[in-house]
Amino acid sequence: MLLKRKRGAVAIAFVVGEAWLTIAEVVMAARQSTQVNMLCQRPIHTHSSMSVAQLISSHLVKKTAKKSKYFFSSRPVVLVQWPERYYRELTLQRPPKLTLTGNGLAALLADAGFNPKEWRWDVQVNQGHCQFLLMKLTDYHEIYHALQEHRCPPDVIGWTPRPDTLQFNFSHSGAWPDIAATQQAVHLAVQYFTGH
Amino acid sequence: MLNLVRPQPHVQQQKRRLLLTGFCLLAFLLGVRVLFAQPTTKPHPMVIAPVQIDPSFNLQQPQKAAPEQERSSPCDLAPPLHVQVRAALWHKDPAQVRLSNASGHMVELTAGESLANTEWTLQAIQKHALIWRHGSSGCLLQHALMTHK
Repeated sequence: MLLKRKRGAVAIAFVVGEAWLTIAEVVMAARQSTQVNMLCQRPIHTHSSMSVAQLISSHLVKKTAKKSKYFFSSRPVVLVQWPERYYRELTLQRPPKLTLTGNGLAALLADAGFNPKEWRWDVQVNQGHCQFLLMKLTDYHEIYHALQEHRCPPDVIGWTPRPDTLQFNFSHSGAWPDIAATQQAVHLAVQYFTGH
Repeated sequence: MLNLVRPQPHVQQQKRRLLLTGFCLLAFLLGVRVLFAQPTTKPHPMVIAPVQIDPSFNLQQPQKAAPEQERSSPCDLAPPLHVQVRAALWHKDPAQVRLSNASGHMVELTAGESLANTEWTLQAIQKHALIWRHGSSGCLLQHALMTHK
């Protein structure tokens, strides 16, 4: 976490929508504040994972080709969010004496009707409940390998829900067609630094 | 933050494995160090036994503390250095000491006899030293004997 929060670190979040690919580049600036440097969107004409991987890869190559920017710092962290239909969210009551390393979480998931061997899942355990994020293992491998083949394996495949209230700057309305996706992209990248 | 690439249970397991590996490595290194460590030699406290004086060896004159007293006396004399002690003959009764002077002549003295042409008198023949007495000043001097092995 300490390394994640280091000054000057760059996180690039890609939010893949049904028609748009939204990108937000967030730089960890001084005094623990984040700074959005770039935000852009490109329509995805074909909806296969390979075409999205090509778009992400080309964007990253374009960004990292600027040697002066990343010469003394590590490569940017790549965060990817796939369309909502790929994910399942599940909130279960936390049983007593539950640990992150044991088989208790897998058993809890199995009790809820999800075979842990068929799903790629992560969990956030709070005091009262466990919040699961699931993706079909076949979908996960398809996405991950497509990005890996294009030499941009993601550091994070995460999920942020679509915001209920849109914080919209009207002066830039023409540039951002999918406002919710832009907020999701920024939130995803900021989440990486803050850890929440 | 929920992350499907590195899920939390997997991260925790990795951390635990890393800690366990580090602990095992540390234990192994400590074990190697203990096994192959050279034993340290601690100096034992030296017990100095009191000097035992052979009761069979007596000075002819009962002045045992005389050399000690003379050491602190202001006598600034040298023992008769022009003679060399060749042999101490303790087996004779009385014990004799064989000396050779500068010209190479051998002289045998017993306790109480004085050296010719000098003021030195052989006071006693001890096991490791000869005790000389100076005639005019009365100073006692110790002349160490070198034993040959």
